[in-house]
Amino acid sequence: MKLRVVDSDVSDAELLRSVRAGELGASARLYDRFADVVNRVVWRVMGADSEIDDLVQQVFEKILVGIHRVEDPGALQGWVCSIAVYTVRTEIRRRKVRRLVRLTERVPESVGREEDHEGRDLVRRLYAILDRLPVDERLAFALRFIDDRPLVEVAELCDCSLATIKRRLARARKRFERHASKDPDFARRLKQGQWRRSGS
Amino acid sequence: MNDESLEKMGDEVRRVIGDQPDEERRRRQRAAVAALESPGLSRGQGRPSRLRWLVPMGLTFAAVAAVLAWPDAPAVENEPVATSDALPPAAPPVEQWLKAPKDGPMDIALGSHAHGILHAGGKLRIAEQSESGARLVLESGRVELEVDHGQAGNWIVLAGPYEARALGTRFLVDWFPLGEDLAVEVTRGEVGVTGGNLGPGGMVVEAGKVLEANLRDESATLRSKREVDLELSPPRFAGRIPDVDQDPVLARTWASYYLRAHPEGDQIDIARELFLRSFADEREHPDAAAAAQGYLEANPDGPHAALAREILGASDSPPQ
Repeated sequence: MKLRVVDSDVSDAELLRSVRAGELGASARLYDRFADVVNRVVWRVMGADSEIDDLVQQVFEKILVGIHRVEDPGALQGWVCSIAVYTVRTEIRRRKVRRLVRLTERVPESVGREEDHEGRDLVRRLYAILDRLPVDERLAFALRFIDDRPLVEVAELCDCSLATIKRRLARARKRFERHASKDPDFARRLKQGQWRRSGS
Repeated sequence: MNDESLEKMGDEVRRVIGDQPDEERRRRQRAAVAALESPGLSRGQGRPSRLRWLVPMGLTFAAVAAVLAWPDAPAVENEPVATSDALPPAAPPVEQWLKAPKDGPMDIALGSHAHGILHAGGKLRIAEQSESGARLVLESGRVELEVDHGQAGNWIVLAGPYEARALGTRFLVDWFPLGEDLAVEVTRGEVGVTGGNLGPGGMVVEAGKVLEANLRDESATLRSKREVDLELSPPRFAGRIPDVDQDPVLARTWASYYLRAHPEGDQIDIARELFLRSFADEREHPDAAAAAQGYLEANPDGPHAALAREILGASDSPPQ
Protein backbone atom coordinates (compact mmCIF):
# COMPACT_ATOMS: atom_id res chain seq x y z
CA MET A 1 0.00 0.00 0.00
CA LYS A 2 1.25 3.47 -0.80
CA LEU A 3 0.48 4.97 2.57
CA ARG A 4 2.51 7.47 4.49
CA VAL A 5 5.46 6.02 6.30
CA VAL A 6 6.37 7.76 9.53
CA ASP A 7 9.40 5.78 10.66
CA SER A 8 12.11 3.96 8.82
CA ASP A 9 11.82 0.37 7.64
CA VAL A 10 14.63 -0.56 9.99
CA SER A 11 12.71 0.45 13.10
CA ASP A 12 9.52 -1.16 11.79
CA ALA A 13 11.53 -4.32 11.19
CA GLU A 14 12.82 -4.18 14.76
CA LEU A 15 9.34 -3.58 16.11
CA LEU A 16 7.96 -6.45 14.03
CA ARG A 17 10.68 -8.74 15.35
CA SER A 18 10.14 -7.83 18.99
CA VAL A 19 6.34 -8.22 18.80
CA ARG A 20 6.65 -11.57 17.07
CA ALA A 21 9.18 -12.72 19.64
CA GLY A 22 6.71 -11.79 22.39
CA GLU A 23 9.24 -9.49 24.07
CA LEU A 24 8.10 -7.77 27.23
CA GLY A 25 6.72 -4.29 26.45
CA ALA A 26 6.52 -4.93 22.71
CA SER A 27 2.73 -4.39 22.65
CA ALA A 28 3.10 -1.02 24.35
CA ARG A 29 5.80 -0.04 21.84
CA LEU A 30 3.48 -1.12 19.03
CA TYR A 31 0.79 1.11 20.54
CA ASP A 32 3.22 4.04 20.82
CA ARG A 33 4.12 3.67 17.16
CA PHE A 34 0.62 3.28 15.74
CA ALA A 35 -1.70 4.95 18.28
CA ASP A 36 -2.06 8.05 16.10
CA VAL A 37 -2.68 6.09 12.90
CA VAL A 38 -5.33 3.88 14.50
CA ASN A 39 -7.04 6.64 16.48
CA ARG A 40 -7.21 8.81 13.38
CA VAL A 41 -9.11 6.17 11.38
CA VAL A 42 -11.38 5.18 14.26
CA TRP A 43 -12.24 8.73 15.33
CA ARG A 44 -12.87 10.05 11.87
CA VAL A 45 -14.97 7.16 10.63
CA MET A 46 -16.92 6.64 13.85
CA GLY A 47 -17.00 10.23 15.06
CA ALA A 48 -18.26 11.13 18.52
CA ASP A 49 -18.49 7.74 20.03
CA SER A 50 -18.59 6.39 23.52
CA GLU A 51 -16.90 3.11 22.59
CA ILE A 52 -13.83 4.48 20.87
CA ASP A 53 -11.31 3.12 23.37
CA ASP A 54 -12.81 -0.37 23.09
CA LEU A 55 -12.56 -0.14 19.33
CA VAL A 56 -8.94 0.98 19.45
CA GLN A 57 -8.20 -1.95 21.72
CA GLN A 58 -9.95 -4.33 19.30
CA VAL A 59 -7.80 -3.01 16.45
CA PHE A 60 -4.61 -3.62 18.41
CA GLU A 61 -5.79 -7.06 19.43
CA LYS A 62 -6.30 -7.95 15.75
CA ILE A 63 -2.90 -6.49 14.93
CA LEU A 64 -1.20 -8.62 17.60
CA VAL A 65 -3.00 -11.74 16.41
CA GLY A 66 -2.27 -11.21 12.73
CA ILE A 67 1.15 -9.57 12.77
CA HIS A 68 2.90 -12.86 12.01
CA ARG A 69 1.41 -12.61 8.50
CA VAL A 70 3.26 -9.38 7.71
CA GLU A 71 6.35 -10.30 5.72
CA ASP A 72 7.55 -6.87 4.65
CA PRO A 73 8.23 -4.35 7.46
CA GLY A 74 7.72 -1.55 4.94
CA ALA A 75 4.11 -2.65 4.55
CA LEU A 76 3.42 -2.60 8.30
CA GLN A 77 1.82 0.84 8.49
CA GLY A 78 -0.46 0.21 5.50
CA TRP A 79 -1.46 -3.12 6.98
CA VAL A 80 -2.21 -1.53 10.37
CA CYS A 81 -4.39 1.05 8.62
CA SER A 82 -6.32 -1.61 6.75
CA ILE A 83 -6.87 -3.58 9.98
CA ALA A 84 -8.27 -0.39 11.57
CA VAL A 85 -10.61 0.15 8.60
CA TYR A 86 -11.91 -3.42 8.67
CA THR A 87 -12.37 -3.44 12.44
CA VAL A 88 -14.39 -0.26 12.17
CA ARG A 89 -16.38 -1.73 9.28
CA THR A 90 -17.24 -4.81 11.34
CA GLU A 91 -18.26 -2.60 14.26
CA ILE A 92 -20.57 -0.46 12.10
CA ARG A 93 -22.26 -3.60 10.77
CA ARG A 94 -22.60 -5.02 14.28
CA ARG A 95 -24.22 -1.81 15.51
CA LYS A 96 -26.62 -1.73 12.58
CA VAL A 97 -27.79 -5.22 13.46
CA ARG A 98 -28.08 -4.36 17.14
CA ARG A 99 -30.07 -1.27 16.30
CA LEU A 100 -32.35 -3.33 14.09
CA VAL A 101 -33.20 -5.62 16.96
CA ARG A 102 -33.10 -2.65 19.37
CA LEU A 103 -30.50 -4.12 21.66
CA THR A 104 -28.77 -0.78 22.19
CA GLU A 105 -29.30 2.88 21.62
CA ARG A 106 -26.07 4.77 21.07
CA VAL A 107 -25.33 7.61 23.42
CA PRO A 108 -22.76 9.83 21.73
CA GLU A 109 -19.94 10.94 23.97
CA SER A 110 -19.06 14.62 24.16
CA VAL A 111 -16.14 15.40 21.92
CA GLY A 112 -14.01 18.38 21.20
CA ARG A 113 -13.44 21.41 23.34
CA GLU A 114 -15.91 21.70 26.18
CA GLU A 115 -16.93 25.25 25.26
CA ASP A 116 -17.46 24.49 21.56
CA HIS A 117 -21.12 23.53 21.80
CA GLU A 118 -21.89 24.57 18.26
CA GLY A 119 -19.09 22.47 16.77
CA ARG A 120 -20.02 19.45 18.85
CA ASP A 121 -23.65 19.77 17.83
CA LEU A 122 -22.75 19.89 14.13
CA VAL A 123 -20.51 16.85 14.46
CA ARG A 124 -23.26 14.94 16.26
CA ARG A 125 -25.70 15.78 13.45
CA LEU A 126 -23.16 14.83 10.77
CA TYR A 127 -22.53 11.39 12.26
CA ALA A 128 -26.27 10.85 12.70
CA ILE A 129 -26.52 11.27 8.90
CA LEU A 130 -23.52 8.98 8.30
CA ASP A 131 -25.19 6.34 10.49
CA ARG A 132 -27.89 6.10 7.84
CA LEU A 133 -25.51 5.28 4.96
CA PRO A 134 -24.70 1.68 3.99
CA VAL A 135 -21.49 0.60 5.68
CA ASP A 136 -19.22 0.56 2.60
CA GLU A 137 -20.51 3.96 1.46
CA ARG A 138 -19.99 5.41 4.93
CA LEU A 139 -16.43 4.11 5.04
CA ALA A 140 -15.56 5.53 1.63
CA PHE A 141 -17.24 8.87 2.42
CA ALA A 142 -15.56 9.26 5.81
CA LEU A 143 -12.11 8.28 4.55
CA ARG A 144 -12.40 10.64 1.58
CA PHE A 145 -14.07 13.72 3.02
CA ILE A 146 -13.52 13.57 6.77
CA ASP A 147 -10.14 11.86 6.90
CA ASP A 148 -9.14 13.78 3.74
CA ARG A 149 -7.41 10.88 2.02
CA PRO A 150 -6.79 10.84 -1.73
CA LEU A 151 -9.05 8.60 -3.83
CA VAL A 152 -6.28 6.12 -4.60
CA GLU A 153 -5.62 5.61 -0.88
CA VAL A 154 -9.34 5.23 -0.13
CA ALA A 155 -9.55 2.57 -2.86
CA GLU A 156 -6.57 0.72 -1.37
CA LEU A 157 -7.96 0.81 2.16
CA CYS A 158 -11.36 -0.44 0.95
CA ASP A 159 -9.63 -3.05 -1.27
CA CYS A 160 -11.41 -1.86 -4.41
CA SER A 161 -10.54 -0.49 -7.81
CA LEU A 162 -10.53 3.27 -8.29
CA ALA A 163 -13.61 2.98 -10.49
CA THR A 164 -15.56 1.15 -7.80
CA ILE A 165 -14.62 3.65 -5.11
CA LYS A 166 -15.69 6.53 -7.36
CA ARG A 167 -19.08 4.92 -7.99
CA ARG A 168 -19.46 4.20 -4.29
CA LEU A 169 -18.59 7.78 -3.38
CA ALA A 170 -21.03 9.15 -5.95
CA ARG A 171 -23.81 7.05 -4.42
CA ALA A 172 -22.74 8.01 -0.88
CA ARG A 173 -22.83 11.71 -1.76
CA LYS A 174 -26.33 11.45 -3.18
CA ARG A 175 -27.57 9.58 -0.15
CA PHE A 176 -25.77 11.94 2.21
CA GLU A 177 -27.30 14.95 0.46
CA ARG A 178 -30.77 13.39 0.64
CA HIS A 179 -30.51 12.70 4.37
CA ALA A 180 -28.87 16.07 5.05
CA SER A 181 -31.77 17.86 3.36
CA LYS A 182 -34.00 16.69 6.22
CA ASP A 183 -31.93 18.90 8.54
CA PRO A 184 -32.41 22.32 6.87
CA ASP A 185 -29.86 24.17 9.01
CA PHE A 186 -27.20 21.53 8.35
CA ALA A 187 -28.04 21.45 4.63
CA ARG A 188 -27.78 25.25 4.40
CA ARG A 189 -24.39 25.29 6.09
CA LEU A 190 -23.21 22.45 3.89
CA LYS A 191 -24.27 24.30 0.76
CA GLN A 192 -22.75 27.59 1.86
CA GLY A 193 -19.66 25.99 3.36
CA GLN A 194 -20.24 28.14 6.45
CA TRP A 195 -19.89 26.13 9.63
CA ARG A 196 -19.23 28.94 12.10
CA ARG A 197 -21.79 31.53 13.05
CA SER A 198 -20.39 35.03 12.73
CA GLY A 199 -18.57 36.05 15.86
CA SER A 200 -18.03 32.52 17.16
CA MET B 1 -23.11 19.89 -2.86
CA ASN B 2 -19.65 19.96 -4.46
CA ASP B 3 -16.21 18.75 -3.45
CA GLU B 4 -15.34 22.14 -1.98
CA SER B 5 -18.31 22.21 0.41
CA LEU B 6 -17.59 18.64 1.53
CA GLU B 7 -13.94 19.49 2.07
CA LYS B 8 -14.92 22.48 4.21
CA MET B 9 -17.20 20.21 6.20
CA GLY B 10 -14.29 17.78 6.69
CA ASP B 11 -12.03 20.63 7.86
CA GLU B 12 -14.62 21.61 10.46
CA VAL B 13 -15.09 18.05 11.72
CA ARG B 14 -11.34 17.56 12.06
CA ARG B 15 -11.09 20.86 13.89
CA VAL B 16 -13.81 19.87 16.38
CA ILE B 17 -13.00 16.24 17.10
CA GLY B 18 -9.28 16.15 16.26
CA ASP B 19 -7.64 12.77 15.89
CA GLN B 20 -5.36 12.45 18.87
CA PRO B 21 -6.43 11.11 22.24
CA ASP B 22 -5.59 13.33 25.21
CA GLU B 23 -2.94 12.18 27.68
CA GLU B 24 -5.39 10.53 30.06
CA ARG B 25 -7.10 8.63 27.28
CA ARG B 26 -3.78 7.68 25.71
CA ARG B 27 -2.62 6.22 29.05
CA ARG B 28 -5.85 4.18 29.28
CA GLN B 29 -5.56 2.88 25.74
CA ARG B 30 -1.87 2.05 26.16
CA ALA B 31 -2.54 0.10 29.36
CA ALA B 32 -5.33 -1.84 27.66
CA VAL B 33 -3.10 -2.75 24.73
CA ALA B 34 -0.21 -3.68 27.02
CA ALA B 35 -2.61 -5.98 28.87
CA LEU B 36 -3.13 -7.89 25.63
CA GLU B 37 0.47 -9.01 25.84
CA SER B 38 0.18 -12.67 26.64
CA PRO B 39 2.09 -15.71 25.46
CA GLY B 40 0.71 -16.82 22.14
CA LEU B 41 -1.30 -13.73 21.21
CA SER B 42 1.50 -12.25 19.14
CA ARG B 43 2.16 -15.58 17.50
CA GLY B 44 -1.18 -15.66 15.77
CA GLN B 45 -3.15 -17.78 18.23
CA GLY B 46 -5.50 -15.11 19.52
CA ARG B 47 -7.44 -15.31 22.73
CA PRO B 48 -8.25 -18.79 24.02
CA SER B 49 -11.43 -19.92 22.34
CA ARG B 50 -14.15 -22.16 23.59
CA LEU B 51 -13.66 -24.06 20.32
CA ARG B 52 -9.92 -24.57 20.86
CA TRP B 53 -10.36 -28.36 20.76
CA LEU B 54 -11.07 -27.92 17.04
CA VAL B 55 -7.43 -27.01 16.41
CA PRO B 56 -5.79 -30.32 17.45
CA MET B 57 -8.64 -32.21 15.81
CA GLY B 58 -8.15 -30.25 12.58
CA LEU B 59 -4.40 -30.82 12.66
CA THR B 60 -4.90 -34.56 13.12
CA PHE B 61 -7.39 -34.62 10.25
CA ALA B 62 -5.01 -32.63 8.02
CA ALA B 63 -2.11 -34.97 8.85
CA VAL B 64 -4.20 -38.04 7.92
CA ALA B 65 -5.33 -36.37 4.69
CA ALA B 66 -1.72 -35.45 3.82
CA VAL B 67 -0.54 -39.04 4.30
CA LEU B 68 -3.37 -40.37 2.12
CA ALA B 69 -2.62 -37.84 -0.61
CA TRP B 70 1.17 -38.25 -0.45
CA PRO B 71 1.70 -40.33 -3.66
CA ASP B 72 0.07 -37.57 -5.74
CA ALA B 73 1.80 -34.68 -4.02
CA PRO B 74 4.06 -32.66 -6.34
CA ALA B 75 7.76 -32.92 -5.62
CA VAL B 76 8.35 -29.17 -5.64
CA GLU B 77 5.35 -28.08 -3.61
CA ASN B 78 5.78 -24.56 -2.19
CA GLU B 79 9.12 -24.13 -3.95
CA PRO B 80 9.58 -21.17 -6.31
CA VAL B 81 8.93 -22.05 -9.95
CA ALA B 82 12.23 -22.51 -11.77
CA THR B 83 12.60 -20.74 -15.11
CA SER B 84 15.24 -20.93 -17.80
CA ASP B 85 16.11 -18.83 -20.84
CA ALA B 86 17.10 -21.83 -22.90
CA LEU B 87 14.09 -24.06 -22.37
CA PRO B 88 10.43 -23.22 -21.96
CA PRO B 89 9.64 -23.15 -18.25
CA ALA B 90 8.06 -26.24 -16.80
CA ALA B 91 4.40 -25.91 -15.86
CA PRO B 92 3.91 -25.51 -12.12
CA PRO B 93 2.20 -28.47 -10.49
CA VAL B 94 -1.56 -28.46 -10.27
CA GLU B 95 -2.96 -27.27 -6.93
CA GLN B 96 0.27 -25.54 -5.95
CA TRP B 97 -0.20 -22.00 -4.68
CA LEU B 98 1.90 -19.49 -6.59
CA LYS B 99 2.75 -16.12 -5.14
CA ALA B 100 4.46 -13.46 -7.20
CA PRO B 101 7.18 -11.48 -5.41
CA LYS B 102 6.21 -8.01 -4.18
CA ASP B 103 8.61 -6.28 -6.54
CA GLY B 104 8.00 -8.08 -9.82
CA PRO B 105 5.87 -10.40 -11.93
CA MET B 106 6.08 -14.17 -12.17
CA ASP B 107 5.78 -16.16 -15.40
CA ILE B 108 3.39 -19.08 -15.43
CA ALA B 109 3.98 -21.72 -18.07
CA LEU B 110 0.70 -23.12 -19.38
CA GLY B 111 1.80 -25.41 -22.23
CA SER B 112 2.41 -24.44 -25.84
CA HIS B 113 -0.85 -22.54 -26.45
CA ALA B 114 -1.02 -20.17 -23.54
CA HIS B 115 1.14 -18.13 -21.25
CA GLY B 116 0.36 -16.39 -17.99
CA ILE B 117 1.91 -13.60 -15.94
CA LEU B 118 1.06 -13.21 -12.28
CA HIS B 119 1.69 -9.57 -11.40
CA ALA B 120 3.59 -8.41 -8.30
CA GLY B 121 2.03 -9.54 -5.03
CA GLY B 122 -0.65 -11.67 -6.74
CA LYS B 123 -1.55 -15.17 -5.57
CA LEU B 124 -3.15 -18.02 -7.53
CA ARG B 125 -3.23 -21.76 -7.98
CA ILE B 126 -3.76 -23.90 -11.05
CA ALA B 127 -6.77 -26.09 -10.32
CA GLU B 128 -6.68 -28.01 -13.63
CA GLN B 129 -4.37 -28.02 -16.61
CA SER B 130 -4.09 -29.79 -19.96
CA GLU B 131 -2.66 -28.95 -23.40
CA SER B 132 -6.02 -27.45 -24.42
CA GLY B 133 -6.94 -25.54 -21.31
CA ALA B 134 -6.42 -24.58 -17.70
CA ARG B 135 -8.45 -23.42 -14.75
CA LEU B 136 -6.66 -20.82 -12.64
CA VAL B 137 -7.98 -19.78 -9.25
CA LEU B 138 -6.95 -16.17 -8.53
CA GLU B 139 -6.98 -15.55 -4.81
CA SER B 140 -5.92 -11.92 -5.05
CA GLY B 141 -4.09 -9.53 -7.33
CA ARG B 142 -3.72 -9.41 -11.11
CA VAL B 143 -3.13 -12.21 -13.61
CA GLU B 144 -2.59 -11.72 -17.33
CA LEU B 145 -3.34 -14.56 -19.71
CA GLU B 146 -2.41 -14.84 -23.38
CA VAL B 147 -4.03 -17.65 -25.32
CA ASP B 148 -3.26 -18.46 -28.97
CA HIS B 149 -5.95 -17.65 -31.49
CA GLY B 150 -8.20 -20.66 -32.01
CA GLN B 151 -7.56 -22.08 -28.53
CA ALA B 152 -10.94 -21.01 -27.28
CA GLY B 153 -13.11 -22.02 -24.43
CA ASN B 154 -11.10 -23.93 -21.88
CA TRP B 155 -8.85 -21.22 -20.48
CA ILE B 156 -10.56 -20.01 -17.37
CA VAL B 157 -9.71 -17.66 -14.50
CA LEU B 158 -11.83 -18.01 -11.37
CA ALA B 159 -11.86 -14.92 -9.14
CA GLY B 160 -14.15 -15.23 -6.12
CA PRO B 161 -17.62 -15.94 -7.51
CA TYR B 162 -16.68 -14.76 -11.03
CA GLU B 163 -15.46 -16.87 -13.94
CA ALA B 164 -13.64 -15.33 -16.93
CA ARG B 165 -13.43 -17.64 -19.95
CA ALA B 166 -11.01 -16.80 -22.75
CA LEU B 167 -12.20 -16.86 -26.35
CA GLY B 168 -8.84 -16.77 -28.21
CA THR B 169 -7.44 -13.80 -26.48
CA ARG B 170 -5.18 -11.80 -24.26
CA PHE B 171 -6.69 -10.45 -21.08
CA LEU B 172 -6.08 -9.32 -17.50
CA VAL B 173 -8.06 -10.19 -14.41
CA ASP B 174 -7.78 -8.09 -11.22
CA TRP B 175 -9.41 -9.45 -8.07
CA PHE B 176 -9.65 -7.60 -4.75
CA PRO B 177 -11.06 -10.27 -2.42
CA LEU B 178 -11.75 -8.12 0.64
CA GLY B 179 -13.67 -5.53 -1.36
CA GLU B 180 -15.17 -8.27 -3.60
CA ASP B 181 -14.14 -6.23 -6.61
CA LEU B 182 -13.33 -7.53 -10.11
CA ALA B 183 -11.84 -5.93 -13.22
CA VAL B 184 -11.37 -7.79 -16.52
CA GLU B 185 -9.45 -5.99 -19.25
CA VAL B 186 -9.31 -7.51 -22.74
CA THR B 187 -6.49 -6.63 -25.13
CA ARG B 188 -7.28 -9.08 -27.94
CA GLY B 189 -10.24 -11.35 -28.78
CA GLU B 190 -13.11 -11.75 -26.33
CA VAL B 191 -13.68 -12.98 -22.79
CA GLY B 192 -16.97 -14.29 -21.42
CA VAL B 193 -17.42 -13.45 -17.72
CA THR B 194 -20.08 -15.12 -15.60
CA GLY B 195 -20.92 -15.54 -11.92
CA GLY B 196 -21.27 -13.07 -9.07
CA ASN B 197 -23.81 -10.36 -9.81
CA LEU B 198 -23.53 -10.66 -13.61
CA GLY B 199 -26.81 -12.48 -14.12
CA PRO B 200 -27.45 -15.84 -15.78
CA GLY B 201 -25.91 -15.00 -19.16
CA GLY B 202 -22.90 -13.10 -17.81
CA MET B 203 -21.19 -10.48 -19.98
CA VAL B 204 -18.89 -10.66 -22.99
CA VAL B 205 -15.93 -8.28 -22.89
CA GLU B 206 -14.48 -7.36 -26.28
CA ALA B 207 -10.98 -6.15 -27.09
CA GLY B 208 -10.34 -2.61 -25.85
CA LYS B 209 -13.00 -2.85 -23.14
CA VAL B 210 -12.82 -3.20 -19.36
CA LEU B 211 -15.48 -4.84 -17.22
CA GLU B 212 -15.62 -3.58 -13.61
CA ALA B 213 -17.90 -5.50 -11.28
CA ASN B 214 -18.44 -5.31 -7.55
CA LEU B 215 -20.35 -7.90 -5.62
CA ARG B 216 -21.21 -5.69 -2.65
CA ASP B 217 -22.47 -2.80 -4.73
CA GLU B 218 -23.99 -5.22 -7.25
CA SER B 219 -22.51 -3.00 -9.95
CA ALA B 220 -21.17 -4.07 -13.35
CA THR B 221 -19.84 -1.53 -15.84
CA LEU B 222 -18.36 -2.00 -19.28
CA ARG B 223 -16.16 0.88 -20.42
CA SER B 224 -13.44 1.53 -22.96
CA LYS B 225 -9.90 0.89 -21.78
CA ARG B 226 -8.95 4.42 -22.83
CA GLU B 227 -11.59 5.89 -20.52
CA VAL B 228 -10.34 3.79 -17.61
CA ASP B 229 -6.73 4.77 -18.36
CA LEU B 230 -7.67 8.46 -18.46
CA GLU B 231 -9.44 8.07 -15.14
CA LEU B 232 -6.37 6.48 -13.56
CA SER B 233 -3.97 9.09 -14.98
CA PRO B 234 -5.99 12.23 -15.67
CA PRO B 235 -4.29 14.51 -18.19
CA ARG B 236 -3.55 18.17 -17.48
CA PHE B 237 -5.88 20.22 -19.65
CA ALA B 238 -4.24 23.55 -18.77
CA GLY B 239 -7.34 25.52 -19.72
CA ARG B 240 -7.77 23.82 -23.11
CA ILE B 241 -11.12 22.22 -23.79
CA PRO B 242 -10.80 19.02 -25.85
CA ASP B 243 -12.60 18.74 -29.19
CA VAL B 244 -15.52 16.36 -28.65
CA ASP B 245 -15.70 15.42 -32.35
CA GLN B 246 -12.02 14.49 -32.48
CA ASP B 247 -11.72 12.76 -29.13
CA PRO B 248 -15.02 12.15 -27.32
CA VAL B 249 -13.44 10.13 -24.49
CA LEU B 250 -10.96 12.90 -23.67
CA ALA B 251 -13.74 15.50 -23.86
CA ARG B 252 -15.83 13.36 -21.49
CA THR B 253 -12.94 13.22 -19.02
CA TRP B 254 -12.63 17.01 -19.04
CA ALA B 255 -16.40 17.54 -18.81
CA SER B 256 -16.95 15.09 -15.95
CA TYR B 257 -14.10 16.69 -13.99
CA TYR B 258 -15.47 20.20 -14.61
CA LEU B 259 -19.03 19.23 -13.67
CA ARG B 260 -17.83 17.73 -10.42
CA ALA B 261 -15.31 20.40 -9.46
CA HIS B 262 -17.02 23.58 -10.70
CA PRO B 263 -20.80 23.06 -10.56
CA GLU B 264 -21.29 26.81 -10.74
CA GLY B 265 -18.32 27.64 -12.99
CA ASP B 266 -18.62 29.87 -16.04
CA GLN B 267 -18.01 26.95 -18.44
CA ILE B 268 -20.68 24.72 -16.93
CA ASP B 269 -22.90 24.90 -20.02
CA ILE B 270 -20.01 23.84 -22.25
CA ALA B 271 -19.23 20.96 -19.86
CA ARG B 272 -22.85 19.76 -19.91
CA GLU B 273 -22.92 19.88 -23.69
CA LEU B 274 -19.60 18.06 -24.16
CA PHE B 275 -20.53 15.46 -21.57
CA LEU B 276 -23.75 14.74 -23.46
CA ARG B 277 -22.20 14.78 -26.94
CA SER B 278 -19.36 12.46 -25.85
CA PHE B 279 -21.97 9.70 -25.60
CA ALA B 280 -23.37 10.25 -29.11
CA ASP B 281 -21.77 6.99 -30.31
CA GLU B 282 -21.94 5.20 -26.95
CA ARG B 283 -25.58 5.50 -25.97
CA GLU B 284 -25.49 2.34 -23.86
CA HIS B 285 -22.72 3.76 -21.66
CA PRO B 286 -23.73 3.67 -17.96
CA ASP B 287 -23.36 7.47 -17.66
CA ALA B 288 -25.14 8.38 -20.90
CA ALA B 289 -28.63 8.69 -19.42
CA ALA B 290 -27.38 10.87 -16.53
CA ALA B 291 -25.61 13.14 -19.04
CA ALA B 292 -28.80 13.45 -21.10
CA GLN B 293 -30.94 14.19 -18.09
CA GLY B 294 -28.47 16.79 -16.78
CA TYR B 295 -28.42 18.52 -20.15
CA LEU B 296 -32.22 18.57 -20.48
CA GLU B 297 -32.72 19.94 -16.96
CA ALA B 298 -30.45 22.89 -17.74
CA ASN B 299 -31.31 23.36 -21.44
CA PRO B 300 -34.69 21.83 -22.28
CA ASP B 301 -34.70 23.67 -25.61
CA GLY B 302 -30.92 23.58 -26.21
CA PRO B 303 -29.42 22.68 -29.60
CA HIS B 304 -28.65 19.13 -28.42
CA ALA B 305 -31.94 18.43 -26.65
CA ALA B 306 -32.96 16.01 -29.43
CA LEU B 307 -29.82 13.92 -28.83
CA ALA B 308 -30.52 13.93 -25.08
CA ARG B 309 -34.09 12.73 -25.64
CA GLU B 310 -32.91 10.01 -28.01
CA ILE B 311 -30.42 8.77 -25.40
CA LEU B 312 -33.05 8.81 -22.66
CA GLY B 313 -35.48 6.99 -24.95
CA ALA B 314 -32.86 4.36 -25.76
CA SER B 315 -31.78 3.76 -22.16
CA ASP B 316 -33.43 0.83 -20.45
CA SER B 317 -33.23 2.23 -16.96
CA PRO B 318 -33.24 5.67 -15.39
CA PRO B 319 -29.85 7.08 -14.40
CA GLN B 320 -28.51 6.09 -10.98
